Amino acid sequence: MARHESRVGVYKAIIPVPGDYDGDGLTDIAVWRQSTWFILLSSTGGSYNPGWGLQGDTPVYPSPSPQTGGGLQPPPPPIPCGGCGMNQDLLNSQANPQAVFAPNSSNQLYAYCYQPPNDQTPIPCHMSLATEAYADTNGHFHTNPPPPVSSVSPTTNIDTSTYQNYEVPVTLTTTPVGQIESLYVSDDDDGYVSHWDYGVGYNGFVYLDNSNILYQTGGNSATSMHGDNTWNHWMTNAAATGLQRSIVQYLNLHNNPGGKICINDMSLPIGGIFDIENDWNPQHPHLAHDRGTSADIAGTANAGSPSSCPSASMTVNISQFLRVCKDNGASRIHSVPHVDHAHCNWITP
Amino acid sequence: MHKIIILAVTCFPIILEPIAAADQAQPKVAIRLSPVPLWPQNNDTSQLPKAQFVFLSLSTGEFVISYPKDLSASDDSERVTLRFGTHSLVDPQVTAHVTLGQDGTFTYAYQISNGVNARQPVAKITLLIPTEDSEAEAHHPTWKIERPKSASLRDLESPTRPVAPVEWSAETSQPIQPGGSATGFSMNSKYRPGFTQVILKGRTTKGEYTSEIAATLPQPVRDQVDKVLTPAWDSQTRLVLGPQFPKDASQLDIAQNLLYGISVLSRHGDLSPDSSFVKGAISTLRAHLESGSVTSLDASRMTFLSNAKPGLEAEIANALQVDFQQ
Repeated sequence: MARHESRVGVYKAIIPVPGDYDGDGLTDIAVWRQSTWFILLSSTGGSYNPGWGLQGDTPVYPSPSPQTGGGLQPPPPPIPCGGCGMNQDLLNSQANPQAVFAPNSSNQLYAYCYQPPNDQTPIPCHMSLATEAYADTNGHFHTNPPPPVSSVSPTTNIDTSTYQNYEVPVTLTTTPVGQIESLYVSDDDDGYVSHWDYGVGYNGFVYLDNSNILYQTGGNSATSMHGDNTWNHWMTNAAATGLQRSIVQYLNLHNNPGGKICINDMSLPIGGIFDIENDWNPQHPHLAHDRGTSADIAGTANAGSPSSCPSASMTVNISQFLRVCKDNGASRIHSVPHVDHAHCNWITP
Repeated sequence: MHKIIILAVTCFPIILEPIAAADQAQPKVAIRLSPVPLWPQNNDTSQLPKAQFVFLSLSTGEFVISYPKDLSASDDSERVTLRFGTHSLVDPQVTAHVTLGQDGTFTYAYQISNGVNARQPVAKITLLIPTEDSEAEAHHPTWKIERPKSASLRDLESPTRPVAPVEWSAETSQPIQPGGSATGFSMNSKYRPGFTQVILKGRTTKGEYTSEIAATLPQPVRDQVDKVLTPAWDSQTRLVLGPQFPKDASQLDIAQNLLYGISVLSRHGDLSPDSSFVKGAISTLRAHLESGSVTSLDASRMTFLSNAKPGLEAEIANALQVDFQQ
């Protein structure tokens, strides 16, 4: 802060323009000199220059300046951002009664046989293992082709007497698809089969439906095969916070508090491949929408279509929004422009 | 009370236990999965896998925490070993009966039994209901009822909606002993039926894992313990019908939940995948989901409902009738 103030003192034709640029409810120290902005964001401690205006312009979003005698309009009140209106119940949705394994992960389980009613001592037996997916889970409402399923090892003709303590280490290698699966375990000695269900995905995503500042798009059941907007707007808490701060900051910077911005896909409820081409191919676009760290923010080319953003006023200047989301913690490498949207990604290394 | 519907669903193990359906013989051999290796019966720690700090002792029904006093040392001969009881040594069956009163309130009544082979009495029952269903009321004549406001979970059956626990605890009454059963657990709710989870925990006579114990553990050890102390591994869970859907719930959400529940029961062998009712239900719900929900589901046009056999099929048919009544 001190460094910033001393820098301000160097210039004479500067206009203090304090305001809540990042939407955290605190006034950010800021000045404007000709076409250059210096904003010290209270939320991050970083400085920010949105790069708007030209030499000779008058800033439209300053507070009255005692040095110049005022004459400018006070800044509009900041949009409250104490959690940015996020549903606190959803914020706490961290746990899950089922076992959930991360996509593309290797997991160790242990299988053993026992003879009811005595379950206190493992006994030798022969068993087989297999996996299968439940259809139409986690917002994947398509099954042709069927989704790839996690693999298990070992699989067949397992003689538990060859293992220490008659206990078989089982490796479950998960698919990149977020879904619910079942592990079949059969006792080959008497043909008895039982199942164990588990999820493949990530716990802890939050549903982002803050209608104060965003307009959800992209969730069209009839065309997307991934359900309505309640299925495709899930993020990590950190990403959801960064995105909302970015939206608030962008709206304030554009003198549009109270406005909304169109937000398309984030992640499915428990993440994993978001295969918008319905073919489970992880190499297709949307690869980066698997971990709840990304969101697509509509650019001006995205406006007008009923299935996209209904109004140009809800779209963004893509490069400017990317700058804002990077200032709010998004990855400088993985946040990139697309033809009709800004892709902001809060992925951590 | 004018009852227009009665549902009775016996629901089934999610975790790997023998499926004790009434018409299924007790298996000679059962198989169990564990997230951690078994603790050696001779307590010989010399062969324990490196970087594995939590184990399951079958003989005592305990989780065993055992780690080198100095995690960074190559010599781990000096170990810290702690034990605490599991809560999963119960063998519950849960039956749900759903009735609809004239005022539009559903009563969900549950009967819970504990198998004769269980090693613990059932002492805690947790039903997951929608967080938003704040008017739902839980009842039991003697068991303590709590609805923790801070707790919120996500259930894979309906992952788009948060659920909150309703807990019955046998603090002031007798737990459900092995071979016993209990009734009187009920919920009154305006929410329509769907599949949800009920989590059942046994009462251990061993030590309990506490926050004080956790505070003494190195972080890598604590991380392993945290993975074990989840409903999936430290309790028994069952799929039951419970309050799930508000009046304005989307047909997509309802269809997804019911399709999943019927698929689970079918896959686990509790419904016959070859029955005309099950085939009709699965194909209708799946077609709705995979066609983009462009058509409206209407129970009066679900001809397969009349094919439901008495028992479980009929009970699920009644749920479909209520949820897709136009």
